[in-house]
Amino acid sequence: MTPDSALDDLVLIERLLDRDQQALTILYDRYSGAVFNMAFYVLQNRVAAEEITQDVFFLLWRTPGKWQPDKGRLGSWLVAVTRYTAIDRLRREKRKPDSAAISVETLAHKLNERVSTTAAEDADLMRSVLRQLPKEQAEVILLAYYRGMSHEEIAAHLKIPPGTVKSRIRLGLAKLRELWREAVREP
Amino acid sequence: MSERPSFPNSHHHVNQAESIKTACEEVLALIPSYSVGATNADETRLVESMLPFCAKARTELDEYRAITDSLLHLAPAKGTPPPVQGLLERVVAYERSLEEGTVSTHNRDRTPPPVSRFTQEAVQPLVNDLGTMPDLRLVAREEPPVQSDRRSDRRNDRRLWWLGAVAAAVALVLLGVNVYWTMQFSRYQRDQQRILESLVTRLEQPTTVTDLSGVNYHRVLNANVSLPGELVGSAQGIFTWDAVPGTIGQVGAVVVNGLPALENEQTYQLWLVRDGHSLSLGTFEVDPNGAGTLIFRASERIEDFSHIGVSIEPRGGSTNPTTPHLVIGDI
Repeated sequence: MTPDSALDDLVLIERLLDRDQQALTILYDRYSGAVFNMAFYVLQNRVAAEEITQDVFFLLWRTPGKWQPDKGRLGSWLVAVTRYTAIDRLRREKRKPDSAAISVETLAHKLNERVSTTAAEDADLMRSVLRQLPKEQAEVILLAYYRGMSHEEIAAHLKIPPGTVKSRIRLGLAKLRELWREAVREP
Repeated sequence: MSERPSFPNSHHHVNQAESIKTACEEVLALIPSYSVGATNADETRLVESMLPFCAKARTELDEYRAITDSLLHLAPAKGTPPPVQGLLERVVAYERSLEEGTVSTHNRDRTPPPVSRFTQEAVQPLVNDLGTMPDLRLVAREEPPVQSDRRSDRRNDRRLWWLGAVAAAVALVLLGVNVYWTMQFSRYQRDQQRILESLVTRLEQPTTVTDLSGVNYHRVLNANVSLPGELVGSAQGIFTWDAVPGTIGQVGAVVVNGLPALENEQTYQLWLVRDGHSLSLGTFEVDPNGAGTLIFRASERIEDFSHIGVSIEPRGGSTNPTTPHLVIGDI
């Protein structure tokens, strides 16, 4: 019998199309950790992160065809969907109750239109590069990326002018790009 | 055939080109923030509507996205995810509701607990974790597979019965829809002809375009027209459509003036644009005065798109725009 760990994601997704719950279990074992970590990182709430984790895998069960293998790895796609979903949850809670929320399906679809998800192996490299950024620049980038906060929200939160937020993001990303290029060039 | 159409009011067109240039500079400045999701709704709309015209901004965005996508895997480990049982229970309930025809995609009635607000306590870990982020490599765990939920023969019989019933119902609905559309389409053709005649009349009197009785939606188009490397004039027009109650399809018409005449092997093509995705509404020609019309039927809701665009395409049209939009308008 083939060990679960050796089963290709594509094979498992095909089994999901046949409504195979064991395939879902294997994928859950494989990726729920990364999905949960992203949800928790964004929401800072365990119960909410657990719900988002379940929502993301439930989406995968209902519409496994939403993942497009040519756009990136399944693990990266799931984590990206998780980020969008968790940020949407954050934003919904900030809005009035009658605000229309974007569905998970819409987010997943939107993501597929542009995602160029990178390999998880790049994470270590990015982590080391990010540590080289001035803390105030890293802070605004992370607040925007992981909290879904706009210029104005970050400015209010950090009690600095919005223009300063913009320039920190711009300088930070430019530096990040430069450091990333250098890191990738190195053997 | 005119190779270089001449237009009056060239000073106005130069100003339009300057406006686009200025907007592209503004978009370029917003790209870093846009790539990490920090732009507000207005800024996001500006970036997404102008990106097709701002090549430098597009290149910049691609470069930043290569970086920001790498941020995806930086979330530190925060304990174990919930056990799979909860998910499987939800899946089983969902499958059951499918079989029973009472689909509920969100079978939870509990109110979700509030998540952390933007307090310092909630935000600080983002920065603190930078120094201690553990390895997040996605490694498969060697654990015994959960017992699969195999369907019984009885369940298969029930499913087949349901499938048969659903197929019969679908066939009946399709028959009804077919008859309905045959009748409706005739009516829409008559309506659109009336709308078109009304619009053409009003275009001849540009100051009265706001009086569009009988038209559900309309947008006035008033845009500069540029061919590669040069601005050649301005176009005016009206894009109008009727919502069709109870259906996704919509019918409408566009009437434009001021488009340059094209070479024989070229045609104008009308597009709906959304997030870089374009949906063709058809092709049309213009007369020697630069006037053209098109009656179309859209297969998707027009209100779901952000822009209307017109591009020059090879005769017969293209699947996707192959040239920049000459005219673009908001929906």
